Amino acid sequence: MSDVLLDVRDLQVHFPVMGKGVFPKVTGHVRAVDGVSFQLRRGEILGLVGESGCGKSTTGRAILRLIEPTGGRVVFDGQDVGALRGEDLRQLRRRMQIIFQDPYASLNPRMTVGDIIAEPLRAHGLVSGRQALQARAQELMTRCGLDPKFVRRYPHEFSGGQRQRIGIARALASGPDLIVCDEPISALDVSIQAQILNLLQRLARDEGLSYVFIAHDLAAVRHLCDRIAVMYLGRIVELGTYAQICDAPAHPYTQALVSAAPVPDPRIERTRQRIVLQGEVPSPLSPPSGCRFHTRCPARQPTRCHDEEPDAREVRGRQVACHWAE
Amino acid sequence: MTEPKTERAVEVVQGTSLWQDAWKRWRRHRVSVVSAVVLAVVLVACLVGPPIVELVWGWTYAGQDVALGPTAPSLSHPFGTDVLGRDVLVRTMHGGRVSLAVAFVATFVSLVVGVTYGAVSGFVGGRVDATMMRIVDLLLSTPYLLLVIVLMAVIPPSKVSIAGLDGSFVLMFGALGLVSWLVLARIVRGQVLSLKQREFVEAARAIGVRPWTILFRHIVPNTLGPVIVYSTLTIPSVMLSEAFLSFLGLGIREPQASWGTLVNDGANAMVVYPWLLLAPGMTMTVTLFCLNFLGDGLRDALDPNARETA
Amino acid sequence: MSGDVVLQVDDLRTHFRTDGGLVKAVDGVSFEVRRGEILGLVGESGSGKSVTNLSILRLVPTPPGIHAGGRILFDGTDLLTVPERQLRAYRGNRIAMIFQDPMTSLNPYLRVSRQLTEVLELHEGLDRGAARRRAIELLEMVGIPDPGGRIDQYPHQFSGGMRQRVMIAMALACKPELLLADEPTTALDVTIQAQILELIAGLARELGTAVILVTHDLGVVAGVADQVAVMYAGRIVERGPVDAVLTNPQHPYTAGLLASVPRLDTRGALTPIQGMPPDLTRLGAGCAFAPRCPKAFDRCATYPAWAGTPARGAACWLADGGEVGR
Ligand SMILES: Nc1ncnc2c1ncn2[C@@H]1O[C@H](COP(=O)(O)OP(=O)(O)OP(=O)(O)O)[C@@H](O)[C@H]1O
Ligand SMILES: Nc1ncnc2c1ncn2[C@@H]1O[C@H](COP(=O)(O)OP(=O)(O)OP(=O)(O)O)[C@@H](O)[C@H]1O
Ligand code: SF4
Ligand SMILES: [Mg+2]
Ligand SMILES: [Mg+2]
Repeated sequence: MSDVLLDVRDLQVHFPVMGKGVFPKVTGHVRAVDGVSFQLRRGEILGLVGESGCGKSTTGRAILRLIEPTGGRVVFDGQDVGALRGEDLRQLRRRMQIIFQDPYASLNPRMTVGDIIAEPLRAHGLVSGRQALQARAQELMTRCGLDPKFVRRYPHEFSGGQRQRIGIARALASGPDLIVCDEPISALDVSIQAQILNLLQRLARDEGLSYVFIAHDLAAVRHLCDRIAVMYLGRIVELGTYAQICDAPAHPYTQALVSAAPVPDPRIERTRQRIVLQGEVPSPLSPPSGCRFHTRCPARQPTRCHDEEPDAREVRGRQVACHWAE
Repeated sequence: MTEPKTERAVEVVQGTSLWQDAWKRWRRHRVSVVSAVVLAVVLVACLVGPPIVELVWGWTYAGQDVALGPTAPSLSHPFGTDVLGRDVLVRTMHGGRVSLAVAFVATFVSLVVGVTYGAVSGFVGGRVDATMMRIVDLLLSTPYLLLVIVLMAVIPPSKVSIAGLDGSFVLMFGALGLVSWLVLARIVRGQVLSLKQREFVEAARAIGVRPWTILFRHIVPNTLGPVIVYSTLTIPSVMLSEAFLSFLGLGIREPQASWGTLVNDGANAMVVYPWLLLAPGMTMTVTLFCLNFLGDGLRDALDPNARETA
Repeated sequence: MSGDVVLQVDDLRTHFRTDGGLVKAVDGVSFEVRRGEILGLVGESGSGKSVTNLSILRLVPTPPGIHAGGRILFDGTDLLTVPERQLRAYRGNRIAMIFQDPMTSLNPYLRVSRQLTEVLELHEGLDRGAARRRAIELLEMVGIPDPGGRIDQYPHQFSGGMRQRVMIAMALACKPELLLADEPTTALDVTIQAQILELIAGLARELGTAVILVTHDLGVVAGVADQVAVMYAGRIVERGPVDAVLTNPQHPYTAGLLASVPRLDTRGALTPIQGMPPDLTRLGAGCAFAPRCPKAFDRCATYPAWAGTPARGAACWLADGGEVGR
């Protein structure tokens, strides 16, 4: 058994953009994910951060093949996910799960919590019989910090944090190896976020799970993750351990991101150097030439950054895609 | 939901489903509840009325008493009699049977066909969806009356009488059912398209639930709110169509009666024998109103946030 | 710090009559804001931050809302009693407001230019040409690239960050004495958030605008606010200068919040606040935080008296008032 659980190589997802008219034609492509590569080891938690629209969710969904990738390969535990068809793909879903951002939208409002949590068990025939399914759902609820006596309640009878726990229990039901967490805490109350973060952390430790943890909150990612990948406009610009990324970022974008993340301590805030980026995030419809970040980069240098796309290279022990980082 | 005895220590709290919630909201909607009661009364009267009257007084919807002729409402004939001396009360109740049957059956047909068609079209998507929806567009853009008229003119009623049912009934069911599912199919397709994007459906896919299970377990139940509301509004529209067709002489034929034909006959004799119009006219109007109020209440109850969309 | 109080809120009470019962969304809130000062109003979802803000301009829909008491003194006038007509002269002129979602406050069918010049013509009495020139100037000030070219676009053609900047430009247009900013950066990315906060801080610094900044992010408060008021269940539970509150919290809720947010500069264990935010229709007579408070004791069954001064203190039986500043 190899140590690498998930191997993503040059993943691309392009969404066609339709023109207007009676017979719409494809007028361009949103290059949501445009050449993303990383590896995830067993039991590892990898953070995926970046600004809104940089392609984090699309990457997560493409890994699970909820979206068909346009190019590249996703290899899960030695199996090429892209090559699987029909029943084989369905079988694989037992081992890869997803937790969504919106705890309201991700649960079917017309099913009881017990039915929701037991659905993976039923879909894969892992447990059968009403009694057994309910008992198993209750056990999962307990594990996720929910009172099992509420097994017959409906999602709208729970708070946001509790619903997120239901989502987590559902993801755990089939005993997966990998869970993609797509911003699981950003829709929750501040005082509830820590509860969910701690739950995720405990589950990862106890069950040896691997996560791809998507977030835009660098602090939460730092708290939970072993390694962090920073995305910008569909590409990973820096990939390293949490300490490397948060304490000594090498890519100019990561530096800006780290410096802009607020810290709840006024003494630190006052002494911090904040890099305020100018300009807007360019459209993924027509990403800038050369380095995608060059339109906003405070460290850019003439012609090379504009003309030549930087490849990922090793800088101080982590991967960085910048011509000048050192 | 019957549960065999369990020895589990934790007692289980029963939740309130969205249906139960809607039921609670609906019960607070006075007008809608009153409408439902009135409708129930009309329905029961139409169903059990004719046999009771026949048993007690011996009148049937077709039974004539030409000698008696038209008489104004009286104790012996509470709604009066028509030119052929037939009891208007019985005829109104009988007409109700026909009208309501046409409306309910056509609506039921449209429900089954429309929901299935729309759900499949929206769920499968792509070419299949495009083709299926073009067919709907085509049928919708043909004036439906023309369709029905042609249908009824081309097929002689006697050819299609099924199981003793009058041919004109069968034609009417078929014709109205044929056109009334179209809009419903479109509504359901729209719902399915948007539900397909919802995260809980994506979650089901991620879990590995089979596609048809996703459609019928996760998607279709969530479309039923608008579907039910739309159906309560389809019933009156079908009833009006039936009345209109009968008015044109294309629908129910003598001595059969529907509210449509009764109103038509009544309108012809309005000046001389106003009660001939009044009895069926009022009953029908009240029924239509009640259906509309019922629909309103159901919409508010089932779809509390989206009043403006329906 | 200058002493001129711009806004004084005195025992404000705003309630809602709902199907579930009377919601005491704001129940006895008092604070003041001075010229050039930024007051951070923090608290979790449903604590009454937005309702407080809306009450100041009497924008709470009534019904279901009820103004159940209190005074809001702005420049000597009680905004709760002035006639609606007179109030309109304050709105958008002397008091400006920006919301979390700028799309809802910009008219999607009007060009940005029209929306900006309208304000300028109405409140500043400029003619068309002058208003347009000033509008372009304002857009430039808030950092919109190519303002002359973009001013005639519609709001949906702007990104979220740019729309928020348009809102700030509108707020700037009349040099307001008071700016009510309701989570102005919650929907934005951190790098854009840094730009917007910088703008708001500049407004306070250079124009002397008093700002009420609603947020649930303690880091944002630490970065830009001078004063903090922490709300819980419709009341202010702690108040004081930002340094004092964030480094020496007096109320267990504030302390709990600080201990439960992950931080970018450290990676300690998170201690979540247990339980869930309270149901505002079922508040008892005691401290609303008591059911979740690790330090609660029998006295908490009655609502705690305010410990300290109005400028620095907390509503907790265990608070000693704390020292001001340090
Ligand atoms: N189904 C789709 N069709 C077309 N474009 C899409 C689709 N889904 C996503 N996109 C585009 O792809 C890009 C990346 O989207 P994605 O949702 O992956 O971003 P994200 O990093 O998850 O952002 P956020 O932090 O806002 O969730 C965006 O520009 C988005 O508009
Ligand atoms: N129009 C309304 N009708 C009924 N209740 C309302 C209304 N507006 C607000 N409330 C209630 O008032 C309380 C306070 O709401 P408010 O919007 O001020 O919270 P908030 O602190 O701004 O939270 P958030 O961080 O979610 O914006 C909530 O419980 C809310 O349900
Ligand atoms: S390659 Fe150039 S533009 Fe890109 S991040 Fe590095 S310095 Fe900036
Ligand atoms: Mg996303
Ligand atoms: Mg708010």
